[in-house]
Amino acid sequence: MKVDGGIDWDLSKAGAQARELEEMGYSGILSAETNHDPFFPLVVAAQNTERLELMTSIAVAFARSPMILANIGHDLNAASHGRFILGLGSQIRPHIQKRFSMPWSSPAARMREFILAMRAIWANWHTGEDLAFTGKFYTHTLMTPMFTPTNSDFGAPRVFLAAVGPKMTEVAGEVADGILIHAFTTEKYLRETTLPALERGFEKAGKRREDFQITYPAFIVTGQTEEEMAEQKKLVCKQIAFYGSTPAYKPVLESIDAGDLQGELNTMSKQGRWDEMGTLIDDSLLGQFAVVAEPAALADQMLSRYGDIVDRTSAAYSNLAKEDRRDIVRRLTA
Amino acid sequence: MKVDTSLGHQLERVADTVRAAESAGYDGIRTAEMNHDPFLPLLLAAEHSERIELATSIAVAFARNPMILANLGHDLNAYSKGRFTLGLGSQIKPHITKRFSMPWGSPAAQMREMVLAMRAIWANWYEGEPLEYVSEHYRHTLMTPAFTPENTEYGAPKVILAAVGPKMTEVAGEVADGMIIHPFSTLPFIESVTLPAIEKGLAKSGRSRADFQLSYSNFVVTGRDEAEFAASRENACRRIAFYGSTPAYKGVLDAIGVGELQGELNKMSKQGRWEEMGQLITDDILAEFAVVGEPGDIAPEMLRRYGQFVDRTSASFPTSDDAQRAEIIAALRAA
Repeated sequence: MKVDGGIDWDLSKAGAQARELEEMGYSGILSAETNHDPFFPLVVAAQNTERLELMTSIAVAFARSPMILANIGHDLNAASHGRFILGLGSQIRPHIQKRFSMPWSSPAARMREFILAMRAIWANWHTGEDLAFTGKFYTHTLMTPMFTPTNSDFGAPRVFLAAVGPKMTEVAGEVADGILIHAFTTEKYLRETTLPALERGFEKAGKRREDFQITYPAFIVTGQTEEEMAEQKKLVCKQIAFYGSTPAYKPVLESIDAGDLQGELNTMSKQGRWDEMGTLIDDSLLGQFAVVAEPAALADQMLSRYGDIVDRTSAAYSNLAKEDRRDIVRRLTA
Repeated sequence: MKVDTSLGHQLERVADTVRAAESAGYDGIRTAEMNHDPFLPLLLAAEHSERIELATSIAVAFARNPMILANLGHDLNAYSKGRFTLGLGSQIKPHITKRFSMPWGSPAAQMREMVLAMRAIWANWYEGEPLEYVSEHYRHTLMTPAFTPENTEYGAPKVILAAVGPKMTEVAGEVADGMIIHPFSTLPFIESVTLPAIEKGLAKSGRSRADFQLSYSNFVVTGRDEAEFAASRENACRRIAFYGSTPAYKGVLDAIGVGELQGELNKMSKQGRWEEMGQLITDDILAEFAVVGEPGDIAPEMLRRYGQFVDRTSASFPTSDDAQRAEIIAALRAA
């Protein structure tokens, strides 16, 4: 199983962070898009590392045009000698329309077209196909030599897609090279909803499972002492409760017959009872979402639960000592 | 006059290029947006330099939305400690709609809104103003603390616009911090169209010319010997003919009384007669667009013609003699 680590938005630290993760044996680094451009830290990381894969997790697709992302993807993949993975997510309607002033409609269909549009652009640049992409949402029909990148040694980056629902998951299986599964997922949901949806996508595209990567971060509760374990547990329960209050994630709770909890959590969230919400997540619920283990047992538990389906994880355990983390990464990636 | 140079797009070479430009004394370094992202090289340029100003010249504004540009502008300005200028241009309709799959409205009005939308976003981030920007082309009404940058020490970058026609030029004067005059411009055009439109725009926003930076990169024909000079002349004539074939630029040719040339060049371009087109550019026409002379004459002539109103240039000086080029740059910067 590959293991990815997160990288800070702070560009003055990104180089040193990336070097440290590479030295510790991580497989890749992830850059998220919140209040900064998600590509910049990866440019810095690319020039400071040799081996690490560089991934956005995620960049907001619908905030941009396929051409812009095709170009950035090409440039980052060329500069990193093929180490870039363009991880995309849809965000939600209010953010696309009211924060980015961009169009939103049928997200799964739009995302499918978005990725196909990028692939058409890359096919034009890298293999000289005509650019004649006319879809329902995107049109790319104009390209001239002047606007065509010439450094095509490393071709297109891989494209991963974040998905929760079955429709977006199927699109990932069909047109992406990997899926970024949300941490708020149970093993049951993963096996009974996510995998079948991916299989439908694979079938549509005539793709094999081994050509595809499943990334799943998993919630982790661990610690060097009892107190630290308890503290982490509280933190993770609160996070699970927060996600559980979101109507869109109800099917995940339903997968473990806890659908009713969503309404309850939602009501509490509207009353601002965030701390209390976490107490509704009992040990058995927690166990559905999180790997709870001492540092020495963590890697084995991850592998025994998810080893047969998950290709890479970004499980964070920043509370552990560096040597413990190094050991976990070594065991997971072995 | 400040002097800028160009930064290529190969990310592996950025560090060397920017260090060389900084030690050669250039004031600024710029990327154009052609077949690569124009922002990524500037990030590395910021990392590997101390003093030099960094700019896009230009990034295609309408290929993006104001929020994406506000974020890129913020990050580059913060990381370079205030050295970034966001230079924007409209491109033309087919490229926006068919290459970038983005909307094209009325370009001057859309550009005005784009700049004002970015300023509204920055005012939200830096001064805590509510984000309520609603206009014909853009709508930005949602911002939460999670999406607000925290490193606000250097604030917003400068924003400059590339403009040719009087409408876009006036928008630059009204909402931008500066303007890039197209190289395909002549003194009569600049004096009769560009400068009055800028003044009109500045008046609208109650600003003066001192608040505004004008950049112009005229053509330069020179060389260390006859052969270099001839090659430089041919190259300039061909580029002038290429621009001259574009219908949108006819006004520039009209301003020097050779408007009919546009139709002829356009016809030849459609026949692919690119080599021949340059031959229609006579010495008289060339002199309107280019400063032509011995290397030692270039800086004084540029300053005589443009020194009154041009604040910075990125003209290229086509001599292979580094010392000659350094002298031109030094003379321009000294003025």
